[in-house]
Amino acid sequence: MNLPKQLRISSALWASPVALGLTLFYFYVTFTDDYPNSRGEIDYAPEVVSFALNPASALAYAAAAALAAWESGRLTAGGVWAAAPARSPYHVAAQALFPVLLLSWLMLLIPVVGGLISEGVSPTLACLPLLGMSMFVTIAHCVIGFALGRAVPRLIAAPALAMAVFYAVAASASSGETFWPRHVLGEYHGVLAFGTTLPLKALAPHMIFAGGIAAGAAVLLTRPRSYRTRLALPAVAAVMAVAGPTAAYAQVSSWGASTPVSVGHAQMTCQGDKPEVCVPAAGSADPGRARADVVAVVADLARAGAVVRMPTTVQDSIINGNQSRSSTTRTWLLPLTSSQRHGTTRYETLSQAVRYPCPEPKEEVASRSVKLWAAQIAGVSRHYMKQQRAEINQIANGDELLRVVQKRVERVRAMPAERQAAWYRHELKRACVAPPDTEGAS
Amino acid sequence: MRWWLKARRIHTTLLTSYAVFVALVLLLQDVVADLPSFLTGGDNPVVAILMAPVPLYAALMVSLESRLPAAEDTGTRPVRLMDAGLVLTVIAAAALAGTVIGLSFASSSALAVGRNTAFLVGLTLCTRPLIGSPAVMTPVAWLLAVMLFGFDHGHPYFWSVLPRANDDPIALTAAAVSLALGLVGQMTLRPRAIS
Repeated sequence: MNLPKQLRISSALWASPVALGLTLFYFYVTFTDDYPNSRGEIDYAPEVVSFALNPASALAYAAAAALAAWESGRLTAGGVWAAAPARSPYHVAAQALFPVLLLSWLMLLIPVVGGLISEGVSPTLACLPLLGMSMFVTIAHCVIGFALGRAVPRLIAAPALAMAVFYAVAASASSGETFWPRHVLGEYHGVLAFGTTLPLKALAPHMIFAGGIAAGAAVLLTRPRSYRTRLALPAVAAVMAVAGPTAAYAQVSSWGASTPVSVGHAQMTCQGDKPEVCVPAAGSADPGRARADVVAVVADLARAGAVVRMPTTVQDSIINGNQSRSSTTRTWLLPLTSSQRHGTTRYETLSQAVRYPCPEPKEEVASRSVKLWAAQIAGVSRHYMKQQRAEINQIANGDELLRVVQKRVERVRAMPAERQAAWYRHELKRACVAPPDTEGAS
Repeated sequence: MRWWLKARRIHTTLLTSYAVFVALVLLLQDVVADLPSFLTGGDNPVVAILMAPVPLYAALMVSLESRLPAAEDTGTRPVRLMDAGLVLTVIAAAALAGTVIGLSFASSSALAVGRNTAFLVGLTLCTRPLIGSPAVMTPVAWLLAVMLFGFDHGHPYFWSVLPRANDDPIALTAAAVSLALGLVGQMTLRPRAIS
């Protein structure tokens, strides 16, 4: 049978207006309304791909499984399996499944390619693993649907598979406290932030889960000559169909809500030494300017008597994606690219330069006072106060607290320089001591 | 009558599917998941029990499609009347299962299952004279539309029917109208040959 005829008689043709229409509508809605809200500071092709595939792959898998079951039922109804075997059953299946696979892959590729084009982001090699995993799982769903369509009447198998696959995959992210479904059902529910990629370890469970069931289903298609092999066939198929999901489950059973990702995949441009300042080349930020800002703030604070150790390296925290790595005294992580775009590098430097002797300050007034004092020294107090006012709304009587802080710092700033430096050192320690009661001391 | 029961595969397909349906209603009555919404970009809570009627209405369709044209077209037996009776019986059985399970487990979502089955069966029967056996996918299209477009910040729109409250007059009317139209179509129009 030639290709045009194959496409014409396939159910995929009749399903394509609905399937592609939904896909196009979805693509239009997400990339006009949603993506602008969640895009990162730097254009990153895998981010677009992960965003496009998130609910699109659930629809594609449902279409693949349901239409494959329908096609398989069509072959059965046409008496193909009862006819004398002139061709291998795999050949027959592949020919019937090709249009279905084509449609399902289109349902994945349209949002991906459309997203990349509409965002003006050029695709990179790093996009391929996630897209490849989705395309592989689509093939697996085709095979599973085909096998089920042979066993169950197609009028039942097709609608049941469509709903079950769509619901299971799309809902896998919100399975409450059970986290394994989201790691094995073929959909990555996060967004790959800049510099993040999915390692093989995170992609393999999806492929082993669906691929194992599909391999078991494919074994059922063979027509062995001997009676004994025919008897053993269902057992072999069952073992394969159970082994794949079990292996995938075993790998992800200890994972939490988020998939392990690998971060820091970005080419960096660096400048200077002690501190060496690095920003990703793709963000086109100027490491020289960033370095000048960092050095200036540290120098200002040192001149005012605050003890600040110059870091050896300053890195842009954007390459860590959504994973927060904390800075050390030697290595500072600052959002350099975004802060340079908004002109707030000096302010961001302050968050690392003012170091409490404890991981988290416990005393509200003292911790905010030293920050405000340092912000005044660095000349960014206006921006600091703006941030504080936005933040303070979440605390009860926050306005009052902020007024107290401002008054204290005003009083300290009137003192001679040495007294100010001594106050600063004392206050840093005080910020780490929990207040005796919830009223707080001023 | 007996040949009709056998030709329609009632004792095999339909009874098995009814058992699956009851099991699904029992299992899914409390399952809720957040599905992506294509209108707002957020997530909407969708109860899984909306999908419980799928195997039942699909099996009913298999039943209605397994015909013996030569024997049925002679017109000596009221086959269409019997088919309409079969449809109503299946819906009554679904409603019964939903009511029993809903009352004994105090689950309001199970109570709506009878209405939803009636609506989905009606939808299938409405499109069946036009497109033949692929009509079985019409309820799937409706279910997908409800899941993807049917919620406004977690509240179902009036047209969505399936996730509406049990005593919602519009949903009840919609189910009754679609079932009536479907039955009228089945009684009067000749179904398209199996494609």
